[in-house]
Amino acid sequence: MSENVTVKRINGEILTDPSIKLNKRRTWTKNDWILLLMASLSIVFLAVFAYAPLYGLILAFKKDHETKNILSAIVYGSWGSYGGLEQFRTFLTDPEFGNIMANTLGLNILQLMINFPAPIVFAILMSELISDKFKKTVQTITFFPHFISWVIFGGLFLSLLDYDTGIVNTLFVKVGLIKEPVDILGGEDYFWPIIIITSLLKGLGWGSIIYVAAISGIPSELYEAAKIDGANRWHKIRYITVPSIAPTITLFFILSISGLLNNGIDHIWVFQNANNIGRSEVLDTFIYKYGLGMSNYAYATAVGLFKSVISVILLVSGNFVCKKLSGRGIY
Amino acid sequence: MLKIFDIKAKSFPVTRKIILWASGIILFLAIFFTYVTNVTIDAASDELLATLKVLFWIFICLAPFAVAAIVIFIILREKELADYYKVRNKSTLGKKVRLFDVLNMLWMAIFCVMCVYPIIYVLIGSFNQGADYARGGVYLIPRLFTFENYRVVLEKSEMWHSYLVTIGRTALGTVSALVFTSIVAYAISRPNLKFKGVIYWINLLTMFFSGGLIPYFLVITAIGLYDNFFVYIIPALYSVYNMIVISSFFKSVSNELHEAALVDGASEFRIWWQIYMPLSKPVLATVALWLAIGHWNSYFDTMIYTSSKDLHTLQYFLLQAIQSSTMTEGMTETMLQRVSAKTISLAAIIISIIPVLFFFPFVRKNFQSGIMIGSLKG
Repeated sequence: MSENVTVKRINGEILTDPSIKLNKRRTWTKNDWILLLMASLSIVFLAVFAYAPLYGLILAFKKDHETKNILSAIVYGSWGSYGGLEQFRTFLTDPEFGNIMANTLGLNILQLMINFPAPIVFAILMSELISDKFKKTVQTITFFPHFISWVIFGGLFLSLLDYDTGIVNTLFVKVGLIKEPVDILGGEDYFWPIIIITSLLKGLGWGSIIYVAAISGIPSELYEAAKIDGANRWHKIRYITVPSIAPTITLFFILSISGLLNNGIDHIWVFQNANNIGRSEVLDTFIYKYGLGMSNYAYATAVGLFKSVISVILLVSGNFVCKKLSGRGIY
Repeated sequence: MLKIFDIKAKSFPVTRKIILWASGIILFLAIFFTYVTNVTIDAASDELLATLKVLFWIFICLAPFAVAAIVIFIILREKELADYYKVRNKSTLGKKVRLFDVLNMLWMAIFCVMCVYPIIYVLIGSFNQGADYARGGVYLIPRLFTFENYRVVLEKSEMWHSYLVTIGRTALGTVSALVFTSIVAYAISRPNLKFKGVIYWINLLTMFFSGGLIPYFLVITAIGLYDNFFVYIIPALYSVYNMIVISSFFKSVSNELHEAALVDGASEFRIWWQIYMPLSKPVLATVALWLAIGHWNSYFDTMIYTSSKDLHTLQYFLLQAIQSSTMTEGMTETMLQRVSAKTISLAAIIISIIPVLFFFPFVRKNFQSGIMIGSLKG
């Protein structure tokens, strides 16, 4: 196979020596075909489940009345007449548009401001714990909520926050923070805090693993040297720990910026009800309701396309800003 | 007999864990049945009371063994840890404890309580009588103890059916996705794959662009997966992220093994199955856990892609139990006094958490090491 090509390995990459001419007309062996067959399994899968839906995006430019049921949506998706940007215009002039965008962005920016830095702080505090045993116990316990579904976790919180029987209300009344029970689940004022706090409780331990791993990779000589130089705990965190995990932070920051329009729909859905719809309706739930609930396929596709275009723009610009500020990006 | 305890505990971590966990459960049940036989139980028949008595004696007899096992293992562990600290020269005793450390531990402990208490709260509620629970104030122990909630839930055939669907999709979905993903991961990890760049980019692009919910739904319908059990399995067969994680592990396997196998005349497929798969157990275990947790917990695909009751998963059944009061349909007044939609849904939550609780201690470590494998390439 490679008699006339010298091959040397550098960092696991195989490089060919440029001074020797490659034999271009190598024959395909049986193993080449097998490998290609194995790899092309992914192409077949993605063609159906990733690229076919991409083609389906042309549905966003079709007329709505032609695609009212599933069958005609599939047929007219390919053949029906174009309606131009009609669907986008409908969405942008929808009276609910402002509200939905405010909810989507508001919830996500809050998550970015609170739930993004929280695992970092948690990981740093955890690395400062003096007892290894205690550290392990804390980790085990805080992982656990990640393993149970949003349905169950939501169910737990619906009973904790209950108006009559929930412990939160009773506790606050007893302590004297509030005079009488507050209907936390019934109104829309508390929807955002509920979402933020529940995702904090469910995701904090899990989200911190990656940073704990990054911190445990910092060589201990750095800390020892700093100690000799008279650094206290705060100095060590500020000048060693944080700069060392900065690349990890940047990576996850960019990734979460591109997810700014993605609310976890299975999270929101558990807590959404008719009373809090004004604060809880986000793009994802809107698409689900209009598309699958009311069979407005073309309209919902257009809203979905609107969402993914903005996400890609956010990803690219987030990456650009991070590259300018810190010299690091994901591509 | 003594030999069992004399073994180096380190070489049997799983056996030790199982014994430890089982002793914990036995102790818990012993305490539980002691408690139960000493409180008044709402709506309890004579048979139930007799069964409880029997169970109480069984677990009381088992409890000393459980205590002994736990004590022995703790002593073993202390010995190991003592060696460990000797080697690491990292005794925690000599360090000075400052106010910051105390506050840090305190807040961590509070956070742990916040993570655990909701589950305890639900456990307590699920054993409380329905009408009594609605009066509020049940926080630490059940006020009016009853098994009725569990009886109602366990008698629901939908519950068992949805349990089976979930177990089926988790088992089948995890295994098939793991095999499929690792086949592709192997091919892509090989430097001699033809058209490697093109194939890699076709994969990578899908991480950034997606058609969105509606076109995806239409594709699922068009290929006949709508309302079909395989809608849980086939679309979940492959994920680019998992492929990258597995393939970066495959790349770290030494190339000499591959060359030796090639010389012996093995095909690439055989090399993948007989050499790379057994060598990659840690990463495969991790990805399998991700997949299994995803399958076990997902409910939205049930909502979107199925319409018949036969395909309801456990999580979807729970969602219905929590959001609407279908569980108490057709019940008499006296029955509704004993159980309420709320307490029944609490019992259903506990029943669905149990498998996760059992597996959790065994997978915890795997999860952490897996994240580190994943983060290496990040």
